[in-house]
Amino acid sequence: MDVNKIVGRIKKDTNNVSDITYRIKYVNKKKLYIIYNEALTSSDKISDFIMRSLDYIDNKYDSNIDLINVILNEISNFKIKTINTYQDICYYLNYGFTIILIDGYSKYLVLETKRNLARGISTPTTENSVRGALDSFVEDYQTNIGLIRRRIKSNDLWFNNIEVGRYTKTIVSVIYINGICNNNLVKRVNNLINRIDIDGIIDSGTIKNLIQKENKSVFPTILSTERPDKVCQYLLEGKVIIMVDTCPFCLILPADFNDFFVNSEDNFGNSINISLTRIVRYVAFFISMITPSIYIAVTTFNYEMLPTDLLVNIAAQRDNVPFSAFFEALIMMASFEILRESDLRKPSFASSALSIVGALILGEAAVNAGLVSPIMIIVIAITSISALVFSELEMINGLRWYRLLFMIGAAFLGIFGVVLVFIYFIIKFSSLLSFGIPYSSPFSPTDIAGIKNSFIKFPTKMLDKRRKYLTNNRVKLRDSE
Amino acid sequence: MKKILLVIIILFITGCNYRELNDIAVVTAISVDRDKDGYKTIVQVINPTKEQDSTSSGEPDFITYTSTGKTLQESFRKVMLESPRKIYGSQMQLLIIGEELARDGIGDILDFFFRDPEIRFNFNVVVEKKNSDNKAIKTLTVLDNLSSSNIMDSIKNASNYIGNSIDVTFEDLMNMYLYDNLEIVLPSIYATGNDNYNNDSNLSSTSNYSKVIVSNLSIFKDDKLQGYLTFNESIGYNFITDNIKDTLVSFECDNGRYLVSEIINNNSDIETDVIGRKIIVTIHGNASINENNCDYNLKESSEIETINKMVNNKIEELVSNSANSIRNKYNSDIFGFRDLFYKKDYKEYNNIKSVWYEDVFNDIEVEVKSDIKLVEKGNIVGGIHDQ
Repeated sequence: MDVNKIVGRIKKDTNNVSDITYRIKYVNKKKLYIIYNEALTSSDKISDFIMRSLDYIDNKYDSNIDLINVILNEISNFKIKTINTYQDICYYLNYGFTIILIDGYSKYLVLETKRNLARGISTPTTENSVRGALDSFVEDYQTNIGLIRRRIKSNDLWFNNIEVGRYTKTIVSVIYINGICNNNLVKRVNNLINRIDIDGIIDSGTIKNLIQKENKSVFPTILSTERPDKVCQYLLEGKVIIMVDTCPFCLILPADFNDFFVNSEDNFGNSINISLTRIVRYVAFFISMITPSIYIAVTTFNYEMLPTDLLVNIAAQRDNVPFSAFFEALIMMASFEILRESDLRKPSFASSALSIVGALILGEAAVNAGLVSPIMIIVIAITSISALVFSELEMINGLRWYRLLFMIGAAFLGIFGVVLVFIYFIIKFSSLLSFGIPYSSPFSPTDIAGIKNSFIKFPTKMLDKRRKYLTNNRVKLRDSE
Repeated sequence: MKKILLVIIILFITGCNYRELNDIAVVTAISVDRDKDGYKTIVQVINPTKEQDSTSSGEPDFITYTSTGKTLQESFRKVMLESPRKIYGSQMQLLIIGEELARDGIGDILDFFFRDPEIRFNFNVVVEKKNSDNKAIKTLTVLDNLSSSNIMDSIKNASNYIGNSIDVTFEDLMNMYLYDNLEIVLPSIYATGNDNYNNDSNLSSTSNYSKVIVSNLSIFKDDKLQGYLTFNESIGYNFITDNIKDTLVSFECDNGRYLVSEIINNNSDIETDVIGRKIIVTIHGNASINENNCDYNLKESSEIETINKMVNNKIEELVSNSANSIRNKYNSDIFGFRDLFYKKDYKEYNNIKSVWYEDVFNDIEVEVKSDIKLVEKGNIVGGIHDQ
């Protein structure tokens, strides 16, 4: 195709947007179009490498040379490629490459001149750890891959890159370790991602919702993290990572219930101490789920469950409260959720105002005004604090629904209702699968290797096997003694 | 859609009563006695505001509602005429049965408490003596703000450290009542003091206040109160039924002074000889010397053995005496001898079942063997008198 026609077509297709620059240059009396997208490219690179090299070629060679081969050979740009279709031109143009069209050739040159649009590596913001690596993923895909490669220096670290999104053309990468990871799982994930036909992927969360059965459960069946060390740990366990360009959060799958209770720094601590921490996390989960409902049940139906002194104590506190226990709990739950939501969204300068409002108005003043009883504040406080032990936001949000369900059960049927909802919870929970792995996996289909690192963490020397549901290559640690 | 509808319907046809805590009156103790036209009940209800805030003076910790009725349920319902809240019985800790009612028979009131689904069976049951005039439940006390827990704790202490009382829950009572081979034994209490037992002035006096005192055991036959045991009989009964946790044995020596020994870690074994009509009670355990004003030289092992023998003799005498005197006075098988016979030899039991109280019970020979070992002498080795 004629060069001028191609330029005309690009201009027509892009409605001649201002950020695409067309530069005409004559080299050895041949007309060259240098096309690049100003927003994506670094003009330094273009002037330093491409323009200078072209000038050099112009001076050095005669006019009757095979210009395209000379450029391929002489140009000082490192990444260079020849293409021959119009679609490729558009593709590379949108990736921040510079295109060189030479009059009379049906092959075109693309040269990498990407501008660095990513921020630097910083500390993780959502998953704090006291001990452990302090780097976190950024929006740039290459940087993220680098952070993983730096930790796993093996040829067996394999990537499947899939382009998803009709408009965004985002790179979605399936990362796994060949030989550890179950091939069927990789195939399955690849198929699921290939099947996605969507106009755009902006965040890994979209992928997550598209590949898991989103409405089956409120609990997440995929972990997401921004910590490269956590990703590498799970890669070595035989799990699959999905990384999305432009998103600093990776997806780890499959994930079972226990994975949400495991923190990456747990691996570095003394197993006896970590075991206690794990138990605390499990207790916190159940406290967060059922405490308000137990409170409602024992103050409206099952008074006989309380010791007399405690009953009298609670009765005295509730004496002036005009609302029913359920409504009271609902008010406080709602206020806390609003407070938490606004705390997440607000800029940091509003934090002191918010804490004063939250602590004084919701706590002190509400009690003094007789709207809620002090014990209700304690119940909501312990509930909310317990929920915050999880770093996964989805877990906290899922917990809320069950908390509400438990409260409704308690308000209608007392402890019996709580038990009914608990049965419902167990049924839902144990029927859940995460990519073929039972969600309740280390416990319910018993897996000794998994239980060793669940609510009790065994010493690292004894954690010598991988989970049998994840991989066939199970030996993790060989005893050297 | 049908499923959701079903769930909603289920939610609204619940059987339990939804009641907020503000609508219930928490009952901790009930006192029942005979009235001329039925029952007189006194219900003790906690005042939660006072319990929470001890500074709010003027209000008592609890209030009592008195009402009468032909039936128990009727008299409890009448409390509602007075009380703004519904009576709630699950937290009940204590049932006090008046002596008059107990003498008439307690069988009729047990049905109500046994039938009511709200009431738990683990509350304590006591008999209140006639002369205290149902004041025990209303008496304010300093250390325990509820009279019910005051009485319960006193009974527990008496049975744990003195041995003249036992802790009887409603469950135990029902067991004794429903089982043919056992007779009912209940602890007893009485209130004493002035007329200010139910107001604040009872709390501001250090000595002359009204109080509730734990007395000895009361003994029933069928469901009627027969009388009260003496202190020694109570201890003897508790030795036979293995209810003694700790008790004191004291005896006079030649010089007119006393030696006191404490029995600890004891347990009693009972052997039954059905044909020979004999019960052998063996008491094992340890003892310590708590007070010695006698002339014994405790450094000598032979002297200690003498004391040990005296302790054992004293216990044997006490237990066999009380077994005989209880049988003579009341002719009520509170020890469960009939049960022992029944378990040991069913055939012979069937023969003597019908004539148990006439021919057998009083003729049973109770042999007591005491095997208490003196193990402790306290901090001083000898006595302070022989230094």
